[in-house]
Amino acid sequence: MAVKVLLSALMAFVIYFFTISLRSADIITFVYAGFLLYIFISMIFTGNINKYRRIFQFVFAVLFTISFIGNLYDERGSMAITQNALFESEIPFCHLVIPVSIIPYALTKTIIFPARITGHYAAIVSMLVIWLTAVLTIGRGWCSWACFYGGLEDGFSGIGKKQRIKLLPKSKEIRYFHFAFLAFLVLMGIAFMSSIFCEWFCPFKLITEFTPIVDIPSLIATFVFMSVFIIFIVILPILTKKRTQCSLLCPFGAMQSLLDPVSIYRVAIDTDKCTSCMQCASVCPFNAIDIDTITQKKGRPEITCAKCGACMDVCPQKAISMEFSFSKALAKKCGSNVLNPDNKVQKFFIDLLNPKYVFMFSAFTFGVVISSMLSTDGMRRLISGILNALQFGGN
Amino acid sequence: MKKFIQKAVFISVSSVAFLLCTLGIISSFMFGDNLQKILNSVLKIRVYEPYIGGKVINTIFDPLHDDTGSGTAVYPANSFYSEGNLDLVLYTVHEPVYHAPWQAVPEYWQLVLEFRTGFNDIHSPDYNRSIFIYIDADNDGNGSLMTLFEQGENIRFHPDHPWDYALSVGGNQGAIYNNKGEKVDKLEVVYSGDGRKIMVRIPLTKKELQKLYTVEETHHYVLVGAYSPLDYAQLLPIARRRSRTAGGGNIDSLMPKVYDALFDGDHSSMLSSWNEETFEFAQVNPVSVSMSPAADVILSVSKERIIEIQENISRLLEKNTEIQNQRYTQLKKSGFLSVEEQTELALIALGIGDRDTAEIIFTALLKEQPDNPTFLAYRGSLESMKGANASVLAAVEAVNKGYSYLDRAVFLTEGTLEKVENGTASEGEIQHRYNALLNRGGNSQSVPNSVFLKAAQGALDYLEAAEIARLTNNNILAAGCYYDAGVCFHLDDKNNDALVWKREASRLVKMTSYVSALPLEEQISLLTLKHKLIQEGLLD
Repeated sequence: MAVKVLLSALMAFVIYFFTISLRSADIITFVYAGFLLYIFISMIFTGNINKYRRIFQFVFAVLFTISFIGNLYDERGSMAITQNALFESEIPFCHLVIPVSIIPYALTKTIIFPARITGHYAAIVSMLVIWLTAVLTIGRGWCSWACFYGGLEDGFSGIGKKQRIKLLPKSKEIRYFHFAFLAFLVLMGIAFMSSIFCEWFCPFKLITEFTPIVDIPSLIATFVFMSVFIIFIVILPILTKKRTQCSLLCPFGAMQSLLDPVSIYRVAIDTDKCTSCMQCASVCPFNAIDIDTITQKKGRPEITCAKCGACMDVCPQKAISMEFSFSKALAKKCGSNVLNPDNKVQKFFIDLLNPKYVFMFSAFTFGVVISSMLSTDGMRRLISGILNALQFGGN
Repeated sequence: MKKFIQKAVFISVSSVAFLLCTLGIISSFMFGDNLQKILNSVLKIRVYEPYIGGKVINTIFDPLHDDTGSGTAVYPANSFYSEGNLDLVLYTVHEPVYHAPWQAVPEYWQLVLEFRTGFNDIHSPDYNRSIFIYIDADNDGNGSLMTLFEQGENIRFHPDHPWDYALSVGGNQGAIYNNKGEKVDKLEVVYSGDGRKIMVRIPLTKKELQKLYTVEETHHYVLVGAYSPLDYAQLLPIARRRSRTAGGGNIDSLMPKVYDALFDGDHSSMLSSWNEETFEFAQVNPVSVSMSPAADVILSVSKERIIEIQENISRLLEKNTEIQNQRYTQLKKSGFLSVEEQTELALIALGIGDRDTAEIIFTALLKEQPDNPTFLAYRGSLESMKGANASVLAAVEAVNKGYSYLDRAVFLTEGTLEKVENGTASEGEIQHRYNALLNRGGNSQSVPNSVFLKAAQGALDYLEAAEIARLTNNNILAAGCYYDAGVCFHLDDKNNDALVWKREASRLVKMTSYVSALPLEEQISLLTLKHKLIQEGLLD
């Protein structure tokens, strides 16, 4: 209990600093800060990580979209990428570009994206710092906790209760396809010195910025963007209850999966407790647990696990938990009884260092920082839009 | 004992992980600016050039405030024109590009023209500048020596460099012509958001233009006039007196109809070289542009000279501190101080590092005069300075509080520049505006840009202060402000802009002869600025 209170207080400080102190302290920021604190406290006290995480991520995604589009209209008068924005390197650098730009950078010392280098929160180096921090700490947890796009799929996958298409038997193939697609994008990036994903496949063009339709290729690209959005962000998540775009197409997700072993946390499955009920596999939005994972007693999900907490919430045996990546080695050295406290002080520390809580704190901190500016702006725009509409309706 | 050690090891390792994931993540965002600098110094990232116009192969600076043509021309009396609108300051030539991603025309050659100020009216781009760029692409002595349009710019070309291609940009449209005057293709013309920069792209899809991929050296004539959509040559005339449809200051019918010409030096003598006896227009000389990337020109100064300047600065600073200390003691001892003396005391206290005294005085003065821009500006700076040694949370609060004072000071002094231009500003108003702008600019330069995003604002503050200083003939202050504007642009990742203003600072410093008769503080400012420019290779 004391640990939960302490972590909640620490989170309140983080929320206060990044949401209120750094921004204008008005009612909107207070409301958003209150919402964030409510989500964190609910998560830590009820233990229902996935339920509250999804609410947060969906709200973040919606407000991000409103804010982003609103800002584009303010600055450019449309959502189209202008020649001026290209010329001035003013296209916000998106984390999805990182995987396809690493090798071209290594070869040419240039980034294949027209964004600012520094001096802005959406600049290339700024995004790289955030990404590196994520790699070292929460790993692919980024996708479940901080990615502003992922929330949309989370939202749509929550519509309806029944899983109409079951992807579980195809989990392995889905993972292979994801990595193959990443390899394809990287190779194309090197060949054309262009971020092919942004140019041809990114479904989020529909809700962010896009190249104006001026010729046949741009018309085809727009058709592809719309199709990918409708199929992979809306329809398939509703039918499968999975984050299909994140599991199949997203280059950042695939790269984070490959880099996840570097991170500090991992999800562990206690094979002694596991009864192979497959509930975890059924709910995993990233297809990271399949039949083989359970039957072969691998003891942990597959590489694509995004630490969303869905499996932990649903496991009837409480056989799935979060652990530090070094836990096993350390426990081997220190003995398994190391976690049995001798006194209250030791109990407090061992509780405080519970990887589940620490991860929740770290991952949610990312969410708070990344979301604070755009979400409050999105709320402001949403409210003023509603008020304007009401006024117009009243007239 | 063994069990205890095992537990200690486990808790220590887990604690490190805990700290890394809690404080580490928070710190990476709080100190993102520094981490970005470190990362960028290692990675040295650039954007793949074809996205943004191709590799820059040449940047040619043109002096500021030389937009008077042959020396007497003044802009048309039309609201579309604002001071500095036609003053070309930078001409950037990019490498011709092929297979450029994300572009409507992937084969192109980009030229960028940058002016001192942008447009002041939403319709300005269409009715503002008329730009002619004549290019001698092959250096073979063949080509045209006539202007693109008859009765055009009233100039004559250098006989050794007849042009092969002419680019005409009027408003936001343009075309490229061959030396027979035939239109080869349309140009892509894009303005920056503020209208200061014009990006001109020559599509290289036509065979006739593709030889531009292989040329080694070109010569460019760049001429800027006032645009007229009704004139065949797309130029507003320059008459004796200016009107809405003509510029003013014409002293001869042979006078060129241009306000600025690209020339790294004083172009007025070049543009006034017409000959009434032979009826010859003024001869314009081209600027040579190598088509392979030019190495940056770094001016170097001997170590002895740098040491000499440093010693001079130290000597003057010592002298200044001594005087300030004496005055400080004298003022502190005085029983009653007038508002002016209190202000002086506060400024001296601030100068010698006694911030507490300065804050007490400015706070007291603000109680008496809550809308005094100078008091607000310094109070704001003092508040912001508290952030330097405070915890991150306190620092953010201090900076935000500081800006509330600074923004108010700037708001209260709005319109001073216009008054200076009209000659109606009082000394006090100018001083208030300086204090407001320079304090806010200084803060914007000091606070981390990735957190507060103030660098761009700081640059604009400094540029306005520089403009006021220039109009009031305070060259040393203007140079200092231009330099600081450059620093702000650099923080905002606008390195080309940074260089334009730093070069202007350098030009002004070169023009200002150092005399010991200058007030001590001006001597210090001038020498300090010289030292900075020399260290950056911008002054010899």
